Amino acid sequence: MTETIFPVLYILAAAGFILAIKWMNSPVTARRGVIVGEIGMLLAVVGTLLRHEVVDYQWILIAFFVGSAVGVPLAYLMPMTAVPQRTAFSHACGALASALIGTAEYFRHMPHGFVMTALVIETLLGFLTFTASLMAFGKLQEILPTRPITFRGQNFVNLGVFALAVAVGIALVVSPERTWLFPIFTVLSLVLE
Amino acid sequence: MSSYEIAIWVFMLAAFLGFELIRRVSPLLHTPLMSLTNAISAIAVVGAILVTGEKNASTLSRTLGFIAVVASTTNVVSGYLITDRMLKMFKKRAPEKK
Repeated sequence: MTETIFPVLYILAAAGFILAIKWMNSPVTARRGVIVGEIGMLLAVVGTLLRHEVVDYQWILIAFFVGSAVGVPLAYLMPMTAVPQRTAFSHACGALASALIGTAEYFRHMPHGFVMTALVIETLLGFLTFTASLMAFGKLQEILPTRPITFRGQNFVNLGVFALAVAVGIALVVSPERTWLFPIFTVLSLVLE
Repeated sequence: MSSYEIAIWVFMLAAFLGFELIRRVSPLLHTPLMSLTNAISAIAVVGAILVTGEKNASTLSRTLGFIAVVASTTNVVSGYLITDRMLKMFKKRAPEKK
Protein backbone atom coordinates (compact mmCIF):
# COMPACT_ATOMS: atom_id res chain seq x y z
CA MET A 1 0.00 0.00 0.00
CA THR A 2 2.65 2.51 1.01
CA GLU A 3 4.69 1.49 -2.02
CA THR A 4 2.06 2.81 -4.42
CA ILE A 5 2.24 6.28 -2.90
CA PHE A 6 5.85 7.00 -3.94
CA PRO A 7 5.24 7.42 -7.68
CA VAL A 8 2.37 9.77 -6.81
CA LEU A 9 4.66 11.87 -4.60
CA TYR A 10 7.29 12.06 -7.33
CA ILE A 11 4.78 13.02 -10.00
CA LEU A 12 3.34 15.73 -7.73
CA ALA A 13 6.88 16.99 -7.11
CA ALA A 14 7.59 17.16 -10.84
CA ALA A 15 4.33 19.02 -11.42
CA GLY A 16 5.31 21.42 -8.63
CA PHE A 17 8.65 22.17 -10.33
CA ILE A 18 6.97 22.79 -13.69
CA LEU A 19 4.49 25.19 -12.08
CA ALA A 20 7.32 26.86 -10.17
CA ILE A 21 9.15 27.74 -13.38
CA LYS A 22 5.94 28.67 -15.14
CA TRP A 23 4.95 31.09 -12.36
CA MET A 24 8.42 32.57 -12.51
CA ASN A 25 7.40 34.10 -15.83
CA SER A 26 5.80 37.10 -14.19
CA PRO A 27 6.74 39.12 -11.08
CA VAL A 28 3.13 38.90 -9.86
CA THR A 29 3.16 35.12 -9.50
CA ALA A 30 6.91 34.64 -8.92
CA ARG A 31 6.73 34.18 -5.15
CA ARG A 32 3.94 31.66 -5.51
CA GLY A 33 6.31 29.84 -7.85
CA VAL A 34 8.98 29.64 -5.17
CA ILE A 35 6.50 28.23 -2.65
CA VAL A 36 5.20 25.56 -5.01
CA GLY A 37 8.81 24.65 -5.82
CA GLU A 38 9.56 24.25 -2.13
CA ILE A 39 6.53 22.00 -1.69
CA GLY A 40 7.64 19.90 -4.64
CA MET A 41 11.10 19.45 -3.17
CA LEU A 42 9.64 18.55 0.22
CA LEU A 43 7.40 15.89 -1.35
CA ALA A 44 10.30 14.41 -3.29
CA VAL A 45 12.60 14.25 -0.25
CA VAL A 46 9.93 12.82 2.08
CA GLY A 47 8.93 10.32 -0.59
CA THR A 48 12.54 9.19 -0.87
CA LEU A 49 13.17 8.99 2.86
CA LEU A 50 10.15 6.72 3.29
CA ARG A 51 11.30 4.24 0.68
CA HIS A 52 12.18 0.88 2.07
CA GLU A 53 15.61 0.83 0.38
CA VAL A 54 16.61 3.68 2.68
CA VAL A 55 17.42 2.16 6.05
CA ASP A 56 20.35 4.14 7.39
CA TYR A 57 19.21 7.63 8.36
CA GLN A 58 22.12 8.70 10.50
CA TRP A 59 24.39 10.06 7.77
CA ILE A 60 21.53 11.52 5.79
CA LEU A 61 20.37 13.56 8.78
CA ILE A 62 23.91 14.77 9.50
CA ALA A 63 24.26 15.75 5.84
CA PHE A 64 20.95 17.64 5.94
CA PHE A 65 22.15 19.48 9.02
CA VAL A 66 25.53 20.40 7.54
CA GLY A 67 23.95 21.44 4.25
CA SER A 68 21.46 23.70 5.99
CA ALA A 69 24.19 25.14 8.19
CA VAL A 70 26.06 26.16 5.04
CA GLY A 71 23.00 27.10 2.99
CA VAL A 72 21.13 29.41 5.37
CA PRO A 73 24.02 31.83 6.00
CA LEU A 74 24.85 31.65 2.30
CA ALA A 75 21.34 32.90 1.48
CA TYR A 76 20.99 35.57 4.17
CA LEU A 77 24.48 36.94 4.67
CA MET A 78 25.53 37.13 1.04
CA PRO A 79 25.26 40.73 -0.14
CA MET A 80 22.89 41.16 -3.07
CA THR A 81 25.77 42.28 -5.28
CA ALA A 82 27.36 38.86 -4.80
CA VAL A 83 24.41 36.93 -6.25
CA PRO A 84 26.29 35.89 -9.43
CA GLN A 85 29.05 34.35 -7.30
CA ARG A 86 26.50 32.51 -5.20
CA THR A 87 24.84 31.11 -8.30
CA ALA A 88 28.23 29.97 -9.58
CA PHE A 89 29.04 28.36 -6.24
CA SER A 90 25.74 26.57 -5.97
CA HIS A 91 26.11 25.46 -9.58
CA ALA A 92 29.38 23.86 -8.54
CA CYS A 93 27.66 22.14 -5.61
CA GLY A 94 24.93 20.75 -7.85
CA ALA A 95 27.40 19.49 -10.40
CA LEU A 96 29.55 17.89 -7.71
CA ALA A 97 26.50 16.14 -6.29
CA SER A 98 25.44 14.63 -9.61
CA ALA A 99 28.99 13.61 -10.50
CA LEU A 100 29.44 11.90 -7.11
CA ILE A 101 26.11 10.10 -7.44
CA GLY A 102 27.25 8.88 -10.86
CA THR A 103 30.52 7.65 -9.37
CA ALA A 104 28.81 5.91 -6.46
CA GLU A 105 26.28 4.27 -8.78
CA TYR A 106 29.13 3.01 -10.92
CA PHE A 107 30.92 1.32 -8.05
CA ARG A 108 27.65 -0.06 -6.71
CA HIS A 109 26.06 -1.67 -9.73
CA MET A 110 28.70 -1.65 -12.43
CA PRO A 111 25.99 -0.98 -15.05
CA HIS A 112 26.23 -1.87 -18.72
CA GLY A 113 25.14 -0.50 -22.06
CA PHE A 114 22.61 2.31 -22.05
CA VAL A 115 22.76 3.06 -18.32
CA MET A 116 26.55 3.06 -18.39
CA THR A 117 26.56 5.51 -21.31
CA ALA A 118 24.25 7.88 -19.46
CA LEU A 119 26.33 7.48 -16.31
CA VAL A 120 29.60 8.28 -18.09
CA ILE A 121 28.11 11.39 -19.71
CA GLU A 122 26.63 12.50 -16.38
CA THR A 123 29.90 12.09 -14.54
CA LEU A 124 31.95 13.78 -17.27
CA LEU A 125 29.65 16.80 -17.42
CA GLY A 126 29.27 16.87 -13.64
CA PHE A 127 32.97 17.04 -12.84
CA LEU A 128 33.59 19.38 -15.76
CA THR A 129 30.88 21.76 -14.53
CA PHE A 130 32.17 21.52 -10.98
CA THR A 131 35.67 22.81 -11.73
CA ALA A 132 34.40 25.30 -14.34
CA SER A 133 31.89 26.75 -11.87
CA LEU A 134 34.56 27.03 -9.19
CA MET A 135 36.72 28.93 -11.69
CA ALA A 136 33.77 31.21 -12.50
CA PHE A 137 33.21 31.74 -8.77
CA GLY A 138 36.87 32.57 -8.24
CA LYS A 139 36.85 35.06 -11.07
CA LEU A 140 33.63 36.76 -9.98
CA GLN A 141 34.93 36.99 -6.42
CA GLU A 142 38.22 38.28 -7.87
CA ILE A 143 40.26 35.59 -6.13
CA LEU A 144 41.55 34.48 -9.50
CA PRO A 145 42.80 36.93 -12.14
CA THR A 146 39.79 38.11 -14.14
CA ARG A 147 41.56 38.26 -17.47
CA PRO A 148 41.37 35.01 -19.47
CA ILE A 149 44.07 32.54 -18.52
CA THR A 150 45.82 31.54 -21.74
CA PHE A 151 48.99 29.77 -22.70
CA ARG A 152 50.51 28.67 -25.97
CA GLY A 153 48.89 25.71 -27.61
CA GLN A 154 45.99 25.89 -25.16
CA ASN A 155 43.41 24.79 -27.71
CA PHE A 156 45.45 21.73 -28.59
CA VAL A 157 45.87 20.78 -24.93
CA ASN A 158 42.16 21.29 -24.25
CA LEU A 159 41.10 19.29 -27.27
CA GLY A 160 43.61 16.60 -26.39
CA VAL A 161 42.33 16.24 -22.82
CA PHE A 162 38.75 16.21 -24.08
CA ALA A 163 39.50 13.53 -26.68
CA LEU A 164 41.29 11.47 -24.04
CA ALA A 165 38.37 11.79 -21.60
CA VAL A 166 35.91 10.74 -24.32
CA ALA A 167 38.15 7.81 -25.28
CA VAL A 168 38.39 6.60 -21.68
CA GLY A 169 34.63 7.10 -21.34
CA ILE A 170 33.97 4.94 -24.40
CA ALA A 171 36.36 2.30 -23.08
CA LEU A 172 34.38 2.26 -19.84
CA VAL A 173 31.08 1.88 -21.68
CA VAL A 174 32.46 -1.02 -23.71
CA SER A 175 33.69 -2.86 -20.65
CA PRO A 176 32.66 -1.35 -17.30
CA GLU A 177 34.73 -3.93 -15.41
CA ARG A 178 37.87 -1.91 -16.00
CA THR A 179 37.53 -0.19 -12.66
CA TRP A 180 41.00 1.30 -12.78
CA LEU A 181 39.92 3.48 -15.70
CA PHE A 182 37.29 5.30 -13.68
CA PRO A 183 39.62 7.42 -11.50
CA ILE A 184 41.55 8.40 -14.63
CA PHE A 185 38.28 9.38 -16.24
CA THR A 186 37.37 11.46 -13.17
CA VAL A 187 40.67 13.32 -13.14
CA LEU A 188 40.45 14.02 -16.88
CA SER A 189 36.93 15.42 -16.44
CA LEU A 190 38.08 17.61 -13.56
CA VAL A 191 41.08 18.99 -15.44
CA LEU A 192 39.04 19.63 -18.56
CA GLU A 193 37.27 22.63 -16.98
CA MET B 1 8.13 -0.16 -25.23
CA SER B 2 11.27 -0.86 -23.32
CA SER B 3 11.98 1.26 -20.27
CA TYR B 4 14.92 2.90 -22.09
CA GLU B 5 12.64 3.92 -24.89
CA ILE B 6 10.23 5.48 -22.41
CA ALA B 7 13.12 7.26 -20.72
CA ILE B 8 14.23 8.79 -24.01
CA TRP B 9 10.67 9.91 -24.75
CA VAL B 10 10.48 11.60 -21.35
CA PHE B 11 13.84 13.23 -22.00
CA MET B 12 12.72 14.59 -25.37
CA LEU B 13 9.42 15.94 -24.05
CA ALA B 14 11.12 17.47 -21.00
CA ALA B 15 13.60 19.29 -23.23
CA PHE B 16 10.76 20.95 -25.17
CA LEU B 17 8.79 21.64 -22.00
CA GLY B 18 11.76 23.34 -20.36
CA PHE B 19 12.40 25.47 -23.41
CA GLU B 20 8.77 26.56 -23.68
CA LEU B 21 8.61 27.34 -19.96
CA ILE B 22 11.55 29.74 -19.93
CA ARG B 23 11.10 31.21 -23.41
CA ARG B 24 9.00 34.17 -22.34
CA VAL B 25 10.49 35.00 -18.95
CA SER B 26 11.08 38.74 -18.70
CA PRO B 27 14.77 39.75 -18.46
CA LEU B 28 13.94 41.35 -15.11
CA LEU B 29 13.39 37.90 -13.63
CA HIS B 30 16.41 36.15 -15.13
CA THR B 31 18.50 36.25 -11.95
CA PRO B 32 15.82 34.76 -9.66
CA LEU B 33 14.99 32.25 -12.39
CA MET B 34 18.62 31.13 -12.43
CA SER B 35 18.70 30.59 -8.69
CA LEU B 36 15.29 28.89 -8.67
CA THR B 37 16.25 26.42 -11.39
CA ASN B 38 19.49 25.87 -9.51
CA ALA B 39 17.51 24.97 -6.41
CA ILE B 40 15.26 22.65 -8.43
CA SER B 41 18.27 20.94 -9.99
CA ALA B 42 19.20 19.94 -6.45
CA ILE B 43 16.52 17.25 -6.90
CA ALA B 44 19.67 15.15 -7.29
CA VAL B 45 19.35 14.92 -3.50
CA VAL B 46 16.91 12.05 -4.13
CA GLY B 47 19.64 9.99 -5.76
CA ALA B 48 22.09 11.00 -3.08
CA ILE B 49 19.72 9.88 -0.32
CA LEU B 50 19.22 6.51 -2.01
CA VAL B 51 22.98 6.01 -2.29
CA THR B 52 23.72 7.08 1.30
CA GLY B 53 20.86 5.34 3.05
CA GLU B 54 21.19 1.99 1.38
CA LYS B 55 21.57 -1.07 3.54
CA ASN B 56 25.19 -2.37 3.62
CA ALA B 57 26.46 0.51 1.51
CA SER B 58 30.22 0.39 1.06
CA THR B 59 32.32 3.08 2.74
CA LEU B 60 33.16 4.56 -0.65
CA SER B 61 29.58 4.97 -1.83
CA ARG B 62 28.44 6.15 1.60
CA THR B 63 31.15 8.82 1.67
CA LEU B 64 30.39 9.96 -1.87
CA GLY B 65 26.67 9.94 -1.12
CA PHE B 66 27.19 11.90 2.08
CA ILE B 67 29.10 14.66 0.28
CA ALA B 68 26.44 14.68 -2.43
CA VAL B 69 23.64 15.08 0.14
CA VAL B 70 25.53 17.94 1.82
CA ALA B 71 26.15 19.70 -1.50
CA SER B 72 22.59 19.39 -2.73
CA THR B 73 21.00 20.30 0.61
CA THR B 74 23.10 23.47 0.54
CA ASN B 75 21.65 24.15 -2.89
CA VAL B 76 18.06 23.47 -1.90
CA VAL B 77 18.17 25.61 1.23
CA SER B 78 20.16 28.55 -0.09
CA GLY B 79 18.56 28.44 -3.54
CA TYR B 80 14.99 28.81 -2.34
CA LEU B 81 15.82 31.27 0.41
CA ILE B 82 17.82 33.61 -1.81
CA THR B 83 15.22 33.47 -4.60
CA ASP B 84 12.61 34.52 -2.09
CA ARG B 85 14.87 37.27 -0.78
CA MET B 86 15.39 38.62 -4.30
CA LEU B 87 11.68 38.60 -5.02
CA LYS B 88 10.94 40.47 -1.80
CA MET B 89 13.14 43.25 -3.16
CA PHE B 90 11.00 43.40 -6.28
CA LYS B 91 7.88 43.88 -4.19
CA LYS B 92 9.41 46.79 -2.33
CA ARG B 93 10.67 48.53 -5.42
CA ALA B 94 7.50 48.22 -7.47
CA PRO B 95 5.47 50.93 -5.67
CA GLU B 96 8.39 53.38 -5.86
CA LYS B 97 8.36 53.24 -9.63
CA LYS B 98 4.73 54.25 -9.79
